[in-house]
Amino acid sequence: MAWRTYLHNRFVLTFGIIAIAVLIWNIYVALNDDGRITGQVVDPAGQPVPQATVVLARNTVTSVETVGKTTTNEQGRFTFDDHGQFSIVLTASKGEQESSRRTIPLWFRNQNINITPPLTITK
Amino acid sequence: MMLRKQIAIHALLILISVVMLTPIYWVVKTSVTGENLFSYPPTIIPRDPNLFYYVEAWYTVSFVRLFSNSLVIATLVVVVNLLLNAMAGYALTKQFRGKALVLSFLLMSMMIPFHATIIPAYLLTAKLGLLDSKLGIALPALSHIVCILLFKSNFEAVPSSLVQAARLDGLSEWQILTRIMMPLSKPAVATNIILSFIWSWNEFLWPLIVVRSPDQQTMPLGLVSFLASFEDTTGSLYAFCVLVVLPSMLVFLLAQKDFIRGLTSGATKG
Repeated sequence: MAWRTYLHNRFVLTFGIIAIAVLIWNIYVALNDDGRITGQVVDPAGQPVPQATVVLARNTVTSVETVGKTTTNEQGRFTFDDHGQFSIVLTASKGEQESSRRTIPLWFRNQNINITPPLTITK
Repeated sequence: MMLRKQIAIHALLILISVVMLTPIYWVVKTSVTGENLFSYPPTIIPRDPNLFYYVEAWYTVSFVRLFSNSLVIATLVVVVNLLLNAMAGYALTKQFRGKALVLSFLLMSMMIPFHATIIPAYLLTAKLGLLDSKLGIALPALSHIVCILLFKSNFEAVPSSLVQAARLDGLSEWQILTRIMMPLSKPAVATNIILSFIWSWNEFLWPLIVVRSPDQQTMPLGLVSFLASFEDTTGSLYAFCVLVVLPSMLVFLLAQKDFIRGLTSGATKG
């Protein structure tokens, strides 16, 4: 069969597999690129912290640039939508207390992500 | 005695391979670890490898644009090279007055480095109005003398009785070239594809001179702008280097069998 010989060609197989992988990856990206970041802020005892300020930032060549801010709800949970970044930096604070800065590299721009473990604010 | 000799030869080959592959391994390792090149002591095994530097490299420069520019130019170069080199190679298998002169001229042209002809090439491209265009970038690479001579030697290895039979069957010269010569010279075709693709893909100096707008930049030019803007991001820079090299390595690995055959088949004429 001519088509079978054609398909068993190493060029067709290699580039065909690459094309399929790219297609699957793009479908996955299209389904998960709403830019939704969800997470929780807790205290050192693991209790949720309501009304904490969460800052979303991005690393630039020289500094860290703020992209957005939000506050946590009663369950200590926070959400950002459409962040538009491929690497994010999150910090949480309430009063004098602040969490350590957490840098999270993403697999693609505007990736949906649930932050685990929660951001822990300490003195 | 033979066994010892074999072991010694293989040990030497392994050593040479290690020496040759170490820089490539180092680039790949740095691209997944982001480790500073000057860190001491250097680590052989990557620590905490990840692919996030590739993501950063992808988004930091307009990777898709650079890649598609390089791909369009390389495809153009490969197709036109195949056409022109095969026609020229076939013509050189014929006997005609001044053939030795033409061959000498081609061989002499090979001795002149491209850098010496870059100003006339630039002026010519400018006269044609092809500066800052894909065709302008591809123009000097549209034919390679090495590939012409490769086709010539491969075509000469085809029995002349086949050509005569084809001619008796009423085939034109073009048909003899495309239906008889080219199918019988697959290794030469593969070699031509590999060489022209790799040369076009890796070309840096000529695109640097003729390209002005970022829209026409190719992968090697993107690498330079990446280096100029983000010299601290070692991991991303090396990830980008790997992405630049990967397509030509892939093409070479896929066609290396035919490539080696293509380089040697013409040598055993008759």
